[in-house]
Amino acid sequence: MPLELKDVVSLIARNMESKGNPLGVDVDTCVSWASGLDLDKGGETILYTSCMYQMVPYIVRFTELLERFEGGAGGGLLLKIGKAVSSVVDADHIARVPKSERDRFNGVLRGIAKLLKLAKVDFGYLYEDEPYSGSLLYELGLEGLFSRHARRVVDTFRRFGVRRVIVVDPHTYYVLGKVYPRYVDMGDLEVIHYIDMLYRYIDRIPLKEIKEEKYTIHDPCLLARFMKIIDPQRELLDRLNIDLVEPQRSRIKTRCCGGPLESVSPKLSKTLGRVRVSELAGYSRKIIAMCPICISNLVRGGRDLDIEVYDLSEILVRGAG
Amino acid sequence: MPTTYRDVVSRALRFREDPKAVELLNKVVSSVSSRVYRVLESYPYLEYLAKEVSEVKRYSIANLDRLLKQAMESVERVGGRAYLAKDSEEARRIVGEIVGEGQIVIKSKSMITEEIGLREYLEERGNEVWETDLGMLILQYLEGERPTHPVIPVLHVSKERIIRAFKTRLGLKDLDEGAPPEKIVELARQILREKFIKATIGITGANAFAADSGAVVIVENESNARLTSALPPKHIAVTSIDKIVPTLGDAVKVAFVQAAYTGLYPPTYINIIAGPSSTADIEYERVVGAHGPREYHVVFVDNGRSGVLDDPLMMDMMRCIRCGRCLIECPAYQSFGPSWGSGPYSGPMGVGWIYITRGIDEAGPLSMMCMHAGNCVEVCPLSIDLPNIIQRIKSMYVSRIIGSEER
Repeated sequence: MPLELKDVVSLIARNMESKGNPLGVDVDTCVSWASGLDLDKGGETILYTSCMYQMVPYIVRFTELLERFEGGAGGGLLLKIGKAVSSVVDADHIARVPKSERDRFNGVLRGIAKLLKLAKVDFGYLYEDEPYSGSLLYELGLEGLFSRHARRVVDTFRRFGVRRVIVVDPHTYYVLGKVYPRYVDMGDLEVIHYIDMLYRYIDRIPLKEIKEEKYTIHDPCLLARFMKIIDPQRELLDRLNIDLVEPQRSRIKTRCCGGPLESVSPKLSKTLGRVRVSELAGYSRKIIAMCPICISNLVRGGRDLDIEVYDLSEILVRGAG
Repeated sequence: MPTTYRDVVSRALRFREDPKAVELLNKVVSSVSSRVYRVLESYPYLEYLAKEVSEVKRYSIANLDRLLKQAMESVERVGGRAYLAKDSEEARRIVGEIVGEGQIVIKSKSMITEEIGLREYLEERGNEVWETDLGMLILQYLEGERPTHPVIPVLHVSKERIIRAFKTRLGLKDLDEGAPPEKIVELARQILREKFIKATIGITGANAFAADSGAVVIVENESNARLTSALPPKHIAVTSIDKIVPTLGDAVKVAFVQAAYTGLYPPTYINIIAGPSSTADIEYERVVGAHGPREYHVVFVDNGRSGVLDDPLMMDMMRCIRCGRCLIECPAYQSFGPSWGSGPYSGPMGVGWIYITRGIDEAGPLSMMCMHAGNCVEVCPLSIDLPNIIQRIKSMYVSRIIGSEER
């Protein structure tokens, strides 16, 4: 039985209200990646995570949970999902997301921070004051909530004197870069993707050759088609001299991972993820993605395949060792 | 007919459970895609032509009121009759009155006639109506199916299903279960040949309509539209008002681009019909009705279109020439195929047209399947902003779903 759309969007709207993010994960989950890094709070330039990578293990679980409801009988879905989700995110159950998974995605952010530091980019971080971008609200058509939220986000940036935001994922980059300006006055706020930033200072980063088997690259739709970031990641990887495979559908012709359909129909989303991940697996075991949503969907779609999905930054960090 | 989001999802899930349909969809999608890329590589001028058509359509939609008036005057000037129907019901009634009852009617493929439910209406009025495009003929005899692509209407249907439908419902009893496609085409040709000769009415759509010359332009490969518009004594062209462009030259360019972006270029035929057939060979006096039709009727159908002319985003949708290019590269269409649509419209452009012609209740649930991957706008020959058009429909729909308190 398909999910009731109203149930899902209401749940997400409620989580936004109570926790400020669509899955209702708590603030520790979002900020713990930065502990020990001694990043300044705030500053003119900040690294803006929007809690996206941190949520990956929870997105995967939440989606698999929704999928079970989608497969089950109808009736009282909101109640059931509501209970189950609060149990997914409450403190006891957070421990159930294996520490290794949380560490891995926190590690992605630590890696990005490390690369930016190697590139001699100064940046701060907003810690518990960092808002979620609202990208999923926009993607689900929750326009009113999204536009109000966008205003709050920009206000927060202003309050902390932020002039430049370095984003780490395509969804946040797209909404801040292309959608926010339609709803809110951004002033002179500059939005830049970390890949572009690293590419700008590529010669400052000591990237050396790594001996590795081949990798197949998966371009995120939003990054390649909407934001036209296609070559910088390749130039960066080229410095590592790895054997990079371009699938037939790559660059501007890249193929969807199934996101963000997973929030409303996990099964159909998985169908798409499966198509894409099988296609990629035909080229090599190791896949390079660069989007937390792509990673969740490729992982879900490729559970029974012998593949490994990496974030771009995880590979770059190895070369910057 | 999909009315809720759940219906749309259920239909997509059901579609995925039919391995043969999924296999055929994959096959067609990948071969059409590579054909289009091949065509564009072989005929580089087509991309320039597409840019020109993009601007022509922008101008045409912005000046639709004036061009519609001019188009109707031109039809009358070339000896035809022009009609304007505000909705499906009026369009059916107008065509019904021209056709009458107890006639043999032949039709070429046309999305607008599907949109207004013309065939069923004419049949109810006691006419014998024949689809002459093979794909549409197949569809006419398949239960519970609808066109899945504007140019390839039965792309997900297996040959076995086609043979079964023709045997049981078209009366082709001696059609062999394992008959090759050639045999099916031959039998269809035999049946239809007689209908072409006997028909009193030929109904076509239009790929474009030239306001300056009252001419309908139809692009095709089977030659059935050519016969449909030439053999019967009456030709009725049904066209939606968004098809109107200023000149005949513009209209032919639209046909070129439409064919190219479907992967069928050069098209085997482009038909231009600007009036009833006539001759002036005897003392240079024009006699109407030579070998072709004596009557030329053009029915312009609005059906919700003029209602979006004050909305810049939906005006952009109105430029669509229905080549189906966006369907072929869309991840949702590639996966869910015909289940992602309603009536004659599917895929990304389908969501837009369904919104315009049937409103938010019908288009809203379909919009939720869009993943905003952006392939559609990237490959659209007119660069129509489909992701944002669908996004708008989505947000209208969702704000209805969650109710006013959370808007």
